[in-house]
Order: sequence, then structure tokens, then C-alpha cells
Amino acid sequence: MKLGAYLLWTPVAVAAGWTVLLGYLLDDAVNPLADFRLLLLRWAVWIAAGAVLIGLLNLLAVHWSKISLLEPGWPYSALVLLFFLTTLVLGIVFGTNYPIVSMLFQYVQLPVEASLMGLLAITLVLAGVRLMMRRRQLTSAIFLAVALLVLLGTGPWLIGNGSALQEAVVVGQRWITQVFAAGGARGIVIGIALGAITTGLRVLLASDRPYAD
Amino acid sequence: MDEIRCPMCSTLNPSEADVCRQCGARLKPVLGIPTGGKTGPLEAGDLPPVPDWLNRIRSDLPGEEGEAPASEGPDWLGRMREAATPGDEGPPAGEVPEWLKEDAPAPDEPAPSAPAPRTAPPAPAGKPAAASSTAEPPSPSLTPIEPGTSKPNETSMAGETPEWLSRIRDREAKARQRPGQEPEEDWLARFRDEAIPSAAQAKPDKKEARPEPPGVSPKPPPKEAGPAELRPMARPPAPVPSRAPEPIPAALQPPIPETEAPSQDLPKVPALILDSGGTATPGAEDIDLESIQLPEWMSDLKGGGPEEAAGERSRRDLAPATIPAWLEAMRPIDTFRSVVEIQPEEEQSVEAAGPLAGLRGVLLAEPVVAMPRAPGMDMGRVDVTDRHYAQAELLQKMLEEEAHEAPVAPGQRRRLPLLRWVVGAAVLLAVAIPAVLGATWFPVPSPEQWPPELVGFRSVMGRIPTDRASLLVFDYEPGYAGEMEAVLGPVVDDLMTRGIPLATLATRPAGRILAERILARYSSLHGFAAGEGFLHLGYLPGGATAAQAFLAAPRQAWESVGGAPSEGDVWVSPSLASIQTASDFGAVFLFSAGAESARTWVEQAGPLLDSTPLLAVVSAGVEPILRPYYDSQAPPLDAIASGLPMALAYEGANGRQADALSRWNPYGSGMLAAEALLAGGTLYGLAGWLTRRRPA
Amino acid sequence: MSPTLSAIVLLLFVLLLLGYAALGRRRPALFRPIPGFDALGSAIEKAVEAGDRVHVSLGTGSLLSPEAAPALAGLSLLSRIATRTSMSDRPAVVTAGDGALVILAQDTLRAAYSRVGAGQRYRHTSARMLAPTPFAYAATLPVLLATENVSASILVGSFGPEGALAADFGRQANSFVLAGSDDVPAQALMYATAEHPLIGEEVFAGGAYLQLGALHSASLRTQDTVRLILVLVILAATALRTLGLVG
Repeated sequence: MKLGAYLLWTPVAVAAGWTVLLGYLLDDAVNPLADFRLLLLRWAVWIAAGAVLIGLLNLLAVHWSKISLLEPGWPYSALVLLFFLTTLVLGIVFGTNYPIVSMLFQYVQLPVEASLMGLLAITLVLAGVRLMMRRRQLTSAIFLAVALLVLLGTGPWLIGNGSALQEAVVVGQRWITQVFAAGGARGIVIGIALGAITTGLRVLLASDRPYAD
Repeated sequence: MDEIRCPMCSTLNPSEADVCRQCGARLKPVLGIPTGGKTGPLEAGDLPPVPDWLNRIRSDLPGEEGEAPASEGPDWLGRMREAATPGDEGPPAGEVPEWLKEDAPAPDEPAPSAPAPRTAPPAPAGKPAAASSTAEPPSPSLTPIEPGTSKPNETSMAGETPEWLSRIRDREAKARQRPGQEPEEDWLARFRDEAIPSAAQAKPDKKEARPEPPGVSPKPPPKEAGPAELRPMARPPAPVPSRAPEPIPAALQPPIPETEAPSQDLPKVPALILDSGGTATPGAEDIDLESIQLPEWMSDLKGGGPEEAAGERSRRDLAPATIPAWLEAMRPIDTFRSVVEIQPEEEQSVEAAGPLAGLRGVLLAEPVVAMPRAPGMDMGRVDVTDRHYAQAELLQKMLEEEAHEAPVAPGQRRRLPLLRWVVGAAVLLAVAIPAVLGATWFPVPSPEQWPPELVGFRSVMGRIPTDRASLLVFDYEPGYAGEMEAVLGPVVDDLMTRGIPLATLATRPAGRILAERILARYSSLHGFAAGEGFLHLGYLPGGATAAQAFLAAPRQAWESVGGAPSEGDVWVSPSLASIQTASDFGAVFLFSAGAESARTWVEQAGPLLDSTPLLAVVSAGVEPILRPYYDSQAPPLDAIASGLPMALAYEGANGRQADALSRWNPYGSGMLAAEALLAGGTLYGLAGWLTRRRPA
Repeated sequence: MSPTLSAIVLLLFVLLLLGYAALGRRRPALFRPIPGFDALGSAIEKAVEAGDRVHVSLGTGSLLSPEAAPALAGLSLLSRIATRTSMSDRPAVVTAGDGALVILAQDTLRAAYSRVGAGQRYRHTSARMLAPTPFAYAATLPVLLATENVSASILVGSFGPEGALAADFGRQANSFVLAGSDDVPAQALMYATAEHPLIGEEVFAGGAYLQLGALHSASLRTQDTVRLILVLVILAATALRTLGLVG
């Protein structure tokens, strides 16, 4: 990016970030930039909507490029473009409530994504089976033991619920999920929040400038 | 011819003009050249004496034979050319280059540096030397000179011939007059005499001795052999491996020209080193041979044997300076050019041909790079070691491999993901079989075994007002529809049972359709009409930012993104007419499968909702993340529901069994299969770990 | 948290960040080894040597949400990776599930190439939005990995469970897989499927481990310091509440 643009956009980005941040910290009654903050938030929503369109245009450009250059996998790109344009035209012309659009969702997108969830389940089971072979560590053993315990405590038993063993397993599962897992997750979330804050501050301090360099 | 062509611009000028009318170049030499009154271009006979090297070059140029005049002036070297092959001339002893005088190999050194390509190899043993040089047909690799053609001006120029050269010529003449007689005192002269005929015969072709293949050095004459042993040197090359008992790999040998050297047509510049058939080397009696450092083997031959050479060595106080063989091999052979003295201007030749014809003292027409020269490295002296042989063999092997067409290697065999297939098949079968068979293998939990969160959830549901809409936030992707609909279905069913008006908001692009899907399913059961009992606010882009904006001011945020055109003006609906802030909703339900988005909604909505309850129906994976918000004091989250057991319990509480019950057995079967597979994999891995650690 | 307390915490962060950045010039920080980042350099070099692509995924999250933080960390990594692969026959390819992130990725790529004088090698199609939904994104990844000869996949962004699928697809393609997310359940899943999972806030540590600047190292020191303060506060509050000194 040229020097002039760099000098322009960095202050704009930093000012917008600090305005929104201070708007959250200060009460709107004493914040002279309260209205400006709300305006920026609305712009952000607009920009998000625009970004979806830009992303779709990028999707279109990438696949069109693959087709025009006959790169490997171009038939898939052709299919993507075909369904992309079909759905787009139907949605624009008839709206999202149009039965054909609903059918496309109901009988194409939903089954595909549901099958991917099923694939995820199989993948996780497979990863668990392989984990002890790939990574022979104590942490792997603990990971698998906890996973087994939680599965046993969550799922139904063939012998029925209510047995002493099943009750013990359920108690153990709840201890793990509601104490250790929840506590650990909370600690991880705090750590992630700290990382997110410092990352955001680097952007606000113009140290990280993904928008310009 | 009355006109003279300008040598510079080729413009025709009058014959009397001194300078070109076009370019001003001088048309006649400044020096008074006796032209005999001729006009026009200078003729050969009119030219002043030309330095021999220039004459030689001119005479050797293709197409110019016969044009170059035989020098009649005091060109002692030019005449010398006539009596010698082009490659064996050299300046007089006084003009021996300094480097050669100083750096020539010491007499006691072996003479491996004798230039192999220029030295004819020895003849096969047993063949008479004299006969071999005269009776044999001229070798294609030699440059024979016809003796009769080599002395047209020899005597006429005798007065200007240096004394030492005269003696040489006299001796040569005597030798020619009595062929077969060999001067007993000078084997070199004898050798020269033998070389002359064959070289003279080959002169028209100017063929040089075929270079020997690299790695094969000429075998120096044995020390015990007398001078006569050198005669076979004029014979065709018979390469003798110098030190390599085994053949040099073919890969290391340069291609040998089949007929002659590529530079055969170029003017040949003689070297000081004795060439094949060379005659320029002064005789021993004429020149102080001590001033020329000959190779040891030659010195031995000259001196009669190693004994004399040893005695000669013993007389030296200091050993002559020597240079390493590798450096000697790198010495440019045309270095002798530097010792060619520049003659006075009046003695310089006049250019006889070309655009510079008539000018004196012109530079060589041939660039120096075109002059023949010895190879920079004497290939005959390569020291081939065992390591070289090994490397050569390796190189040859590589080249041979390159020459062969490698068979197409079969592609890396793609290992079948058997384990993946086994695991996938086991899980799929475990889920499918009970679903297809309608099996009831797993007992349904009794109300006593229902999750404790159910009571709290239903308790909050009982407090939701029915005069205003409750907000349902659909924050999950279609992939989670199977899990989420099983849990939120009973919740929606309960909401409609209680007659609570609903408004849906999608935070994902597909959320609107997901909401329609679930509401349409239960609205028909409860007589809820779209637009009255429930309505859709549509998709709100912007993620958490949009959530914050919507919770603060729902209408403004909704309108700021243009609303949902297909939904119309939803805010005029009675259930939404009173809604100004998020806390105006009867309740807010969060249907989420994303931990971060669910946490964001809870954290953002909690402070803004006041007494309005916030209930979460989340994926089982998100539940541990949101539970602290539910378990804490003054919780921002009033109720939470997740997982199939909760859904089954809720269906039981509603009195309407739906999705949860139908999925209970496949769910249990699939879980059992996963547990078995995990346990088996873990045990297998542990067993492998232990068995591998034991030998260590 | 009240706005006043939030402002104090924010001010503390800023002061610590700047202070550690100034201190870091004299006393550089020492970080514990993270296997994923240790192996990242050699994986990139191998990919460049082999003429393969390095794939950087910024996740499926949106820029206008807290999910943007790991994606911004991913952009920092991308800057360095793009610089190191700019001379490769196949420069890095970046994917995301959000259009705004794709725009930032394009800017980052363009700037990185310009920095090393290879601006002409930039292609706007090197940064792609694969799909607008997470699972559609995951479903598209195998095609990308197969057709672009990807041998290293760096997944640093906001992923849900689809991140586990993405990591597994990379592993099936025999790629080096470094995967991190801000989503805790996704981290648990990636632990099982990724070759080098990043746990917790490790996803934000890439800049410091790749030495992208003083503020990146200062960020880790700031996080550790604030974390230590939080631990002390939690312990003190727990003790006081256990003793009944506070309500």
C-alpha cells in the first residue's frame, strides 16, 4: 500500500476502534461519541452484509478462474457455479420463501451438512481409536479415559438406568463435565479472552495492520 | 586500371589521389615502397619483407595459398617456414621466451609435459625408424611438406639470414642431399630430417596429429633408448596408456574426431615446444643447448644416457626453477607472441589484401582468439587416481542409467483406509439397525431419572407472559439441525401449548429457513398461524456486533439492515407493537450450537434483559461452556437444555413423544459402538506401546 | 463487569503491553516450546522445496465478532508465511468463511509480497472464501487440498466442530496440520484429529513465536501477568467467601 493510503487508513481504523471501545466503557449519557458509536455499529452491520456479497463474488471469481484455466477440479467448480447462480436467481426473483428454494435447502443443503456431522462423529471415533497409536502419551490415555467415561455417563445403557454402576458412572461423568471440564473450559476461555484482548489492542495500537502495510 | 579503391570505404578514387575523396583515408603508403612504377593495388612482389609469422598466417589461410608472396627480403623466419612444418618453428635462441627459459622442466625431471597432441607417438616396436618415416604413406595426422617446395628463396636471402639459421639450413640441405645418412652427433637433426618429407606432403591439408584421448599420455622414450628411438614419433599415433593399467571410462574421454582436428584450416602458430616433425629447434652444435631446458628424456637422449645427465646435474649448484605440473599444463601456448618484437615501421609488412591493402603495420586480421593454441590443460598429464576411476565409473553408470528408459514406476500404492471403513461401518450399522428395525433395546428413563435441569426449565417457561412475543434466536447451522431440533422441538411445542406468541431472528444465513422448518412443524398441531402466532424477523448479519445492536434497540437494528423485505413490516404486529428494547420481549430463547456465539449472546443480553428470562437450548458440546452462567448466583442464564436425554424427558413432560424417542435407541446403539471402538483402540495402542517398550 | 472496572482493566492491559514492549528490547522473553510452532518453520520450508502450497485457514468465524481475534492472529501468521513462500512456485493460499476476512487476507498477501519485492506474484484468488457456512467450508476443503497440492495446513482462526473435520482432511492428504481455535469444544476435537493442536490461547501466540515484533512478545507477557493477577484474585475471593467474610 502506498504511503499516503497508509497514513490515511491507519488513523481511521484506530479511531473507529477506540470510539467503539470507549463507547462501551462510558455511559451514553456522558459519552459525546455515543451516537457516532451507534452509527459505526450500524455501518459494521452493513459492512458485514457487504462482506458476504464480496465473499460470494470472490467465490465466483475463484471458481470461474478455475474453469477458464481448466485447472484440476474444474468440473466441481462448474457444479458450484451452476448451483450458485441457480439459487441466487431463484432467491432474488422469488424470495427465500419460494418453495423451490426451500426444497433446495431441505433436500440438498440440510442432508449434506447433516451427513458431515455424521462424518464428524465417525472421524472423532476413528481419531480416538488411533490416538493411542499415534501419540503414545499419558495425556492421550487420560483423554481417552475421560471420553469413555463421558460417553458411558451420557448414553443409555442396555441394562437400563438406575443400576448402582450406572449411577456411579453418571456421577463421575457429571463431575467431569460440570467441574473439571467446565472449570478447565472456563480457564481456557479466560486465556482466550486475554489473548483476544491483546490481539485487539495490537490492532488498536496500529501494531497489527491487516488492512494496510 | 586508373582508379584506386579506398581500403577504408571502397570508394573508387583516381590513381593519382593520395587520399580518399570520400573518407580521406590514405590511399598510398606513406613509406616509399618500390612498386616498380606500377599503379593500382600493390602486388605481392612489390611488397616489402613481411614478418614470418604474418606470412605464415597468411599462407595458411584457406583460400589464400599462393597469394601470399614468398618473402624475399630479410625475412629469415619467413624462409624458415618453407623448410619446416608449420607447427615446429620457433624463434631463435635469443628469442626464447623468458618463462620458458626459467620455468622449463629441469633436466632431472621427467617430461610428462611433452604435449601429446603435437608429439607423434612412438611407432610400434620393431619397425625400422628410418624406413617408417620415408616409406610409409603420409599419415593423415601429420603435416607433410614437400621438400622441393620449401626452398624457393632460400639462397637468395642467405645474406640476410641469421647465422644460426644458416647453419641449420645448411645442415638440412646436406641431410636432404644424403637421405639415409644420419648425423651421428645430432639425433634431433636426424629426427627433423625424417619429419620433413612427411610433413611437407601433408601441408596442403594442414592436418595435425590427431590428439590423443585424454588420460593417455605419450609414453616417453625409454632412457636406455638411443636417439633413433625417436623416429617412430612421426608415425601414426599409437596411444599407449601412460599409467593407467585399466581403460579409462568412455564417459571421461572426449569425442575423438574421426578425420582431423576442427582447427585444421586455421593458421597454425608454431610452438616453441618441439612439435611433430619439428625442425625449428636449433641444432645442438649451433645453439647453446644449455640455454634451453629440454625435458629430461630428451636430455637423456641428447646426452647419451642417464649417466651423463646425472653428471650434468651434479655440475649445477642450484636446481633450476620449476613450476608444478598442473601450472605448466595451464600455461597458454601462445604466450610466445609477447616476445615477437615489433619491427620498425619501415620493416613492417604492407597489407596485401582486403580493405587494408596497402597499409603497413596493420594488426593481425585474425583475432587472437581464433589463433590455434594448445589446450589450456594438458590432458595427457591428468593424474588419474583410483578415486578418479571410482568417480568416473559412477559418472558412467549415471550416464548409462540416463540413457536407458526407466520403467514407469508404479504409483505409490494408495493404502485402503480399512480402519476408517471399519469404524464408519460399525457406527453406521449401529445407528441404522435399531432405526430400521424399530428396536427398543434401551429402556426409556423414568421421570425420576429425568435431568434436574428440566424442572427449572419448565418453571421458567411457566412465567413467560402471553401478551407479547418471545424472541427465538436461531443461531446454529443446518448441520446441527438433527441434534438441535430434537431438543428445541419439545420446547417450541411447549411454547405453543402455552399460547405464547413467537418471533424468530436468525443470526446465520440459513437460520430463517431452519426457523420456518421447526415452527411449521408444530404450528399445524397448535393452530398457530404465520403472522399472528409467530412471525419471522429474518436474518440479522453482523454476528456479535449485530447482537449487541439488536439487544440495545431491536427496531433500529432491524431497520438499519433494511429489515426483511419478504416479511413485511413485522413491527406492526400486535405481539411486537410494544417491543422497543430486548427486555420488552416476553422471553429470549437462544438456540445455539456455537460455544462462542452462545457465550456472546448470554454476556451481551444478560445485562440488558432485566427481568426478562433468558433460556438456552444448546448443543451438548456447548453445554459445559454455558453451565457456569446457569450455575452462578444471579445467573444471566435462567434455564438451559441440551442433549437427547433432556429432550426425551421434555417430550415426556409434554406428553407428546416425538423425535427424541425415535432417536433414543439408535442413539444408544451408536454410543455403545463408539465406546467399544474407543476401548478397543485404546487397548490395542496400549498393548503396542508396552510390547515395544519391553525390548528396549 | 462495570464499565469503570472494564476501563481499569483495559488501561492495565495497555500499560503492560507498552511496558513489556519497551522492556523486551533489553530483556527478551523466553517462551516455552510449542511443538506446533517449532515444526511450522520446517514444514513451510519443505513445502517450498517441494513446490507445494501452504494453506492458511482463517476459520469460519466472522470479522465482526469476538471470533475475529484468532483470525487476526492468523493474519499475523499469514504475513510471515506469505513472505517465506513468496518465492515458491506455488505461493500460499488462504481460505476463510467470511468475506471481510478474505479482504483482509488479500491485503495481507499483497503487502507481504510487496515487502519482498514480489508484488507481481500476488493473485487476488490466492485468498478465497470457500463457503459461507462452516460445514460447507469443511466440505470444500478436500477439493482444495487435492487440487492445489497443499502439503501444510495452518488452521488458525475461529472454528467450530468443522475444524476437526478440516484438520482430519489435512491429515488424510498427508499434510502438516497446525490447528487452533478459540472454541473450546473445537479445541478438544482438534486435539484428536490434528497433528499439532493448539490448546487455549496458544492460538494467539504465533506472532511471538515467529518473532513478528516486540508487541507480539509483549502480548504474551501481558497475558501471563494479567492471568497471574486473576489467579490471585480468584484465590483470594474464594478464600474470603469460604471464610464468610464476603457475601
